[in-house]
Amino acid sequence: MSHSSKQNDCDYEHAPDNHSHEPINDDAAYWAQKTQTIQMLLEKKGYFTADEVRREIERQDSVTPMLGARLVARAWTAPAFKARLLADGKAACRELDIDTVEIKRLAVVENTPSVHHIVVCTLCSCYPRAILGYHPPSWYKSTAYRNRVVVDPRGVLEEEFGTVISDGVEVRVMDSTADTRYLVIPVRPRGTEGWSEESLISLINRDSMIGVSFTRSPRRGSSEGYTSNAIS
Amino acid sequence: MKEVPPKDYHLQILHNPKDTSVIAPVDPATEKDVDFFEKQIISIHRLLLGKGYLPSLDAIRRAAEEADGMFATNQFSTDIPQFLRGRQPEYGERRVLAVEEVFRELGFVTREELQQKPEDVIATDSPTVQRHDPEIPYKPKTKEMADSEPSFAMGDWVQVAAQTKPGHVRVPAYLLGKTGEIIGFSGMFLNPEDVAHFRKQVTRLPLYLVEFDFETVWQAACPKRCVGDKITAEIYGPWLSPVSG
Repeated sequence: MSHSSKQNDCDYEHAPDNHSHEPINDDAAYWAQKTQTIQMLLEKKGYFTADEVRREIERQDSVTPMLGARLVARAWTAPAFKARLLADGKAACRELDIDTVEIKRLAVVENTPSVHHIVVCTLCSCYPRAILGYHPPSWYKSTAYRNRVVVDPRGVLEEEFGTVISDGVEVRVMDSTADTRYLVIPVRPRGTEGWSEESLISLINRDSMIGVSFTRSPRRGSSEGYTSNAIS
Repeated sequence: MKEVPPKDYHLQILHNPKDTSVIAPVDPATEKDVDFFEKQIISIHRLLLGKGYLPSLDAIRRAAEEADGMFATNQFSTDIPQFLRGRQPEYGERRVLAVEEVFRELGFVTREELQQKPEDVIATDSPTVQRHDPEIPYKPKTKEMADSEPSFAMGDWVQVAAQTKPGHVRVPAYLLGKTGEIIGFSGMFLNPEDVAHFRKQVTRLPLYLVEFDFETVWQAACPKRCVGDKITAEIYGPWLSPVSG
């Protein structure tokens, strides 16, 4: 079909070319095409290659909350490491070969029987991506979470996440407004004394490292493993 | 390159303390997968950050707030198609719009080039694209903060400025005018308000960790169960003034 026949409803009528243009009326296709155009323009101009973009996507996909879980399990089992992690998060990450080069400052905060930390970014979606994954959960990015958790964190945790913080525990909401990214060390579950780091890792879910949940619970009567119905 | 002053439709991040909307879904099993285009755009700007073409994400955050304002006030540029104009852009979409704007400002691409389809970019006879060795376009001068500016120590009580200022800021609206305690010094960082608008001169500022009581922040609206709880935020020195504890 011709370009001119669609000119009235085509938003690309100013595009400087001679090709025909179907108007795109599908949101997903529109954004996919737009992004592909940006990438290809920058490739052609020498900013990067398609291979670099592909490898970067793969690298980001390879970063999962498992990295955070390794840090937490090591902190639970090695008090000297925990002290270093709390003192300088980035340096402690280097010990475990975790690359945090893009995090300017990593603050690790410890939940205890008397203090419970919760992380939010009320200004955008700041998140320790290099440790918990490049894509924060959609609820973390939502305006509902960002609006509500700084007003009534106990209500949000109980009503939305099923996490009840006892009255005697102080809640500290960490709003990531600038250059520090936060990682929460959750409370180590009871009944895990003597567990290996590897077994402990299986209990450490992403949301417990953001502070909206506790860890998974160890399976009763079992040496190492977790209950399937625990919050994850 | 030119500085990019705040636009009249720039919309700073709002905070609605009366929001009661449901936060969903919170079950990891039903979380929505991230669209490929969102992974792609985030990878693109991370690559450019790593190579030094982008100084930081501050300009992208600023441009995302401009997109918010554009959609909130219906001041669309011609390249926003009709079918997108009836709703606020979602997270990844907003990011694409912001990246486009910043890449145009930095001279990486033109508005006309961005209106091409991918297959047009591939075309060898494309009039607009040629490979060259791109230069880093934004190289600001760094300025140290004046000695006359106040500095703070652990335990000092401070008040956040009551009024915001135009453009991109990193102080949440709900903390404006509130009093808190300095509990940490995060270091010296380039002022994101300067970098976000590509100012020629960028000041290096002290960044403090400030702790606020829920009761102080929300006063009568503080839920009873949150009395005694704390909010901490990082705030740059010039936004703070000393108060007697």
